[in-house]
Amino acid sequence: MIISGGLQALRWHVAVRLYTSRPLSVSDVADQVGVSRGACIEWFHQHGVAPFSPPEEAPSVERHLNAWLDRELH
Amino acid sequence: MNTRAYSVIDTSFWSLCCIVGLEPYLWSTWDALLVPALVQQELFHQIRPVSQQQLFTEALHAGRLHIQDPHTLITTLSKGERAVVSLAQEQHIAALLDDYRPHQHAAGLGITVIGVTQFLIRLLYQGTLSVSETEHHFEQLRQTGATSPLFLQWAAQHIQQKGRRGTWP
Repeated sequence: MIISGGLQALRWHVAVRLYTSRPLSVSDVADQVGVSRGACIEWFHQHGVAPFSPPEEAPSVERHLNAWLDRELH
Repeated sequence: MNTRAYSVIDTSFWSLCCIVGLEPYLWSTWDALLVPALVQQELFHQIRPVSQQQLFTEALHAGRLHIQDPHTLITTLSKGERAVVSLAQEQHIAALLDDYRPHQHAAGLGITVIGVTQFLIRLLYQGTLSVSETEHHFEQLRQTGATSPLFLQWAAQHIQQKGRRGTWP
């Protein structure tokens, strides 16, 4: 039981390290540590791991996508 | 519309297009799409829905999809995304991928990156989809929970704007 809990904690530790240090999607991180994508999202949410699309990036994302759309349509 | 003959497609984009019913529109937008072997492997992983695999096989046999790998792989992404971004960089073509972080990373490299919400909004503005059809696909996309809220927010603004004004910008 203790060993199992320790392995699970290590798994989440690795997941957080991967997610925060490399531009990986949640799916990739989940695959690499052997958990489901849903479980990974839920755990990240519960433990305050930064969301995969931080709200503060909204203005730059909007600018970028609008610039792309402008190029496509004109 | 600035249609490209070829782009390179990632697992996330293919999968979502199949789920929300946008896959047929790929072929009115692109002559053909390149697919790295790593992406093909991901799509044929046992947890993927068989319907997505069948559509992939049909498109492959119809000559709409071509398996092609990059000469070199960039190292900062994983699996299929790494091959997609590398191939887009080598061939100077757009990368079709939907996961937020790889999308932003590839855009930072100067690559034209198109997510499913962008594809949807382009279909709307070019007149392929009506506002109500776009809303239908958008809702399906939202329900998957797989697309970034920031992309959805951007798309929702354009659907509303198109509904009100009918033009861009």
